[in-house]
Amino acid sequence: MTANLMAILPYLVLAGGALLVMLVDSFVKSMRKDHLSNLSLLVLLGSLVAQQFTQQYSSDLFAGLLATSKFTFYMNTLFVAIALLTVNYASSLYSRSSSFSSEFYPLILLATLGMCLMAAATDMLVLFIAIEMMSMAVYLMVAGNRKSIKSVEAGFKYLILGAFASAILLMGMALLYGQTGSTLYSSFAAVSSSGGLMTSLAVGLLLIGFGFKIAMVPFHMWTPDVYDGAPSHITGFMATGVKAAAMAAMIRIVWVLIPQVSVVWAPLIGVLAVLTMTIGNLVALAQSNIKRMLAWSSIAHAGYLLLGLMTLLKPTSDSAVLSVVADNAGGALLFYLLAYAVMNLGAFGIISYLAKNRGEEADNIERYAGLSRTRPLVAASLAIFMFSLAGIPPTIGFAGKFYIFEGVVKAGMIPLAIWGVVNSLLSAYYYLRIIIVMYMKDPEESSYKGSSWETAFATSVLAIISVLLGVIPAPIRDVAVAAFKSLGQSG
Amino acid sequence: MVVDRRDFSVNFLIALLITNKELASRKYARLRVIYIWFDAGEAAFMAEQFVPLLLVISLALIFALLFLGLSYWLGPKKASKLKKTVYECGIPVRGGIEIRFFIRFFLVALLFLLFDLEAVFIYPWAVMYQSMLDGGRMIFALSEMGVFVGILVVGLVYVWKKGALEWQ
Repeated sequence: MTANLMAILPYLVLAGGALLVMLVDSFVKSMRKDHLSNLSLLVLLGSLVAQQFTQQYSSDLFAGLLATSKFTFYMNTLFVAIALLTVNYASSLYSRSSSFSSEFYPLILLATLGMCLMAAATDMLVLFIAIEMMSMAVYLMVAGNRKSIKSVEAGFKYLILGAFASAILLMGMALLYGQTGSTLYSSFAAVSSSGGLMTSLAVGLLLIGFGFKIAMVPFHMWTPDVYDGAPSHITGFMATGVKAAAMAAMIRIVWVLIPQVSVVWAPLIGVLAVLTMTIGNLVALAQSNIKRMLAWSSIAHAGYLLLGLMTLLKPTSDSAVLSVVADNAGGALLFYLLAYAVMNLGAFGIISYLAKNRGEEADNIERYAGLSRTRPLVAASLAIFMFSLAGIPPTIGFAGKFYIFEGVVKAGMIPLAIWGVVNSLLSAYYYLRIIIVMYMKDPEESSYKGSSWETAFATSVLAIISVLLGVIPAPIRDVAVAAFKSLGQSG
Repeated sequence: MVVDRRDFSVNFLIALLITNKELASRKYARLRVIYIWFDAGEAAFMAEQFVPLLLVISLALIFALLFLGLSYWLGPKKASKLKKTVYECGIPVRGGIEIRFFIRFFLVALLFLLFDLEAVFIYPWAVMYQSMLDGGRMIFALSEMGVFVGILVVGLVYVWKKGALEWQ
């Protein structure tokens, strides 16, 4: 029991921290919410530290409900880092604008806890509770800007569609349970290897449920509205954290259920990845609102991620060779999640930095004119993020895409890789347009001007990281590959 | 295509559904085409044990529609002013139907629902309590429930301090 509790100490810190922040919020009355943001930062850091001290991995926590491994370590670090940055953006935004409420801080801690549990869950029920824990918190955070009709509408829309997707996911889980009589992942691997249509239906429903969370095309329609309506820092959190968490859960399920899943998922995901990339990029071309553009771009990036997932689903006939390919492809996928988090959080951080004091969003691309002269450092950072999202070397986005496409080619799906590269070229147009507006146009009266040094500092650090990891991606990539390999060992 | 037991039962079901009198070989070929289409929904047709369920549902539907339709068709319809008024438990109607509710009612209802629902989780624990005592795990059982109730108390304190319980 004690060993179990020690192993989940990082999660306990997050849960306890959320309760603590709630209590402090209700007892300490203050207009500025600095104490809450500082406390939340402490809790998140505490969770990181706890994770460092409890590196005793086990695949059998609480009778097999949870598994900790290098994989969870990697994902948890990513989630907590995303939350740290979001809290950083929020604290400067909330001190400027009174239209946000202090509920944000406990909510983001709970959402992070949900994400961490999603990566660690090895039981369908735990997974479902983790997904709901994350989703409920995110629904509320999306509607966080109470005075903005757009924000409230986005939250409502996300809640309704999210509940629908959860129901479909639950149906898939129920069908799997109906076949095996157990909700443990390990039991699925043993019993349902015979396949059959019931299993196919079940994993198909699971794919729909996850597809909604990662904004896969045909389940992407909510994305632009919700990403546009939510406050920018929340959008960044959703685009990176929620997507990474759903992807982590998908990777785990794929890894356990490969023989059953690959029959249904492999052809489906191949088609859906191509559709997701293409539709995302094509629609993004036509956007004049930077948040909508990044929403469509996040759909396109979900397509690249699905391409990475596709390489894992290749039927393993020749195990020795293919397991190496799978390890590399899985590592590429995990690396891409990190890369996408760095560049996308950076971009949304800057949008949040430029937001007006009245809670108005800086979303009109035309009004980025002349940012290079009024705020040179911020403009340079945003330019780096745009280069990175477009996948231009030497940035982390290039390295991420390179590894993904490398895996796809090695798995022998060369047309898919070519289509991915063509899509990257396509996307360069709309990413570079922002750079042109910032650098080639003169500043105007209506151009955005930011004011918070914390956010500017954080985004500069992210920009440096994206260049640095673009030049030397190998160490982190090795970590990612090791993290993926650990799935096979203990979970 | 592999022919198995399931194949026949599904075809039988389709035959039942389209009330075909005979399965002539020419028609049977067409049914095979339909069957391939139905193949995707095999999970629903997987076992014969679902057929009674299907029958019950369709019977219920048929009877409900039949009697609703009959009463609509046969029943006399004489509208009067009194009949057209809003039904208010049989007493004479007073005032309009668009009454405004104080928003606090919703908050209280929501809070009630929250705490009421969470109290339900105590029941399974109470059921297991005796067996946990017998197993010598009293401290575990109590601390487990202590954590749960503790979280609830934090929620209550939060609601209280935020002023959600004040009626003003």
